[in-house]
Amino acid sequence: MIAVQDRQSVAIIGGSVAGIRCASALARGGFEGSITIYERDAELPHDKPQLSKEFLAGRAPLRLLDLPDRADYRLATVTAVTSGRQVVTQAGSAETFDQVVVATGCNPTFPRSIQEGNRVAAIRSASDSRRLRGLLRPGQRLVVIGGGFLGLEAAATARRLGVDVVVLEANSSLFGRGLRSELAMMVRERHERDGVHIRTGERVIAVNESPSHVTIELIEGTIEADAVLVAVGARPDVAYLQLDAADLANGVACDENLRTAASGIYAIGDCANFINPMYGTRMRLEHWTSAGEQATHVARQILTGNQSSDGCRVLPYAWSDQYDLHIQSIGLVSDLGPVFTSDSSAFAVSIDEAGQVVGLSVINDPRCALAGRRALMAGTRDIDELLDSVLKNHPARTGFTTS
Amino acid sequence: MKVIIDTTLCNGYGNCAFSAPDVFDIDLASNLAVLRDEVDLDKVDESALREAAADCPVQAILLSS
Repeated sequence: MIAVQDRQSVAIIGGSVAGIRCASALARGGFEGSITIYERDAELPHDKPQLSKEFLAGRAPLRLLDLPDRADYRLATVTAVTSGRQVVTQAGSAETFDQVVVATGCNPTFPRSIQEGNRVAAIRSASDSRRLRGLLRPGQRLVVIGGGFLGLEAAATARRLGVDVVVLEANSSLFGRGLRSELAMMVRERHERDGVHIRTGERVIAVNESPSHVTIELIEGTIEADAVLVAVGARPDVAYLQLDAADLANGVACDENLRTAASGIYAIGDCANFINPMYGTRMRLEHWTSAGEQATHVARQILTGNQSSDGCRVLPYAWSDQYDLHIQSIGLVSDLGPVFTSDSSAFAVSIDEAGQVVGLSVINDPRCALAGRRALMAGTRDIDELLDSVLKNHPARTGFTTS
Repeated sequence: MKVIIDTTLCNGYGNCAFSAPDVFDIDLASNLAVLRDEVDLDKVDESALREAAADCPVQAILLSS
């Protein structure tokens, strides 16, 4: 058994949320081996949620992630990681480690017809956000392609800066499977009340950038903009891993303990396609909270010599701040289950076809969200039991309208 | 150990209360994170507190020994 005192060497590939949280958890746990972090972006490790909110708005300086002093942080592009845990960089260095933690996340998806440019950006890193911010001045026109969490958050931020915003979403509703549709509609109405134009069922054919503006071609007609944000999703960055192709089809396949098929190699964060003990199925989560939970779990695995455990049980949790709306999504989203609305808040309980609770979508009710999260984590699946937990001591208990 | 919650940053994300329910909760009136009344900060596990602070998406929990 490998004890904490043994001087293992750990390589963490990727210095974003998951990678840095893992390094921090190792340091906090008294890890005495070496920690080497490889990151290709010249910008220091920074937190991500701010990039579509306060940082994009220019309201706050970039908040950096706490990098443990004892970690060896290397600015390098990793071009290969072998199943034998050798890490090779573009510069030609090659080093083998006792453990490798893959935390390279995802790259933003750019549809074939859309190219990144001076006026066309995704938001993945601080430099993206900075570039976009430079184009967001009052009266400028922003087109957001993609009506999910990220696109809508950036839309709200831009609108508050006095920018004219159009959101184009290919599906008929916003948020996709990310938020209960009734609540998604409330968010849409809030955007529209603030003057954001939301166009659903809109497919973008092409985006053409000129020095002065961007033209977006739709199936019917064109729109002109000063800036375009592409927020249609992201694809795992894992091609450099020398693992079975089948294990790299949707991120990196790993088990309940985030272990890949290769001994000593783990995957965490946006790129980890793990078996979630919460549901007994595979999933790949692109959430801030689960990145930290997985990072902490793997750190613990390394510290305890990879002892078998019940696995990393994750209750999916995502949130978004748009205008005065605090949106939270817990667990999974279905089309079934009751919706409760009050003057200033709303929540919807999602149930599966067997009537079991699978998730909760909430607007402006953090206490309800917390109660629901605790209940779901404790295993509550019965809807009456869940409502009891959520509505206990709730100030608006009698003020809810149900549908 | 001293614990301060920066209420200008807190927006009730709830991760602290979720990971350290004996220490944190979300206040009924403000919908923001608070320390539970009955908590004795001298007896709380320090590493659990550090983990809860790391779990905050906006780094609103400040710890000092």
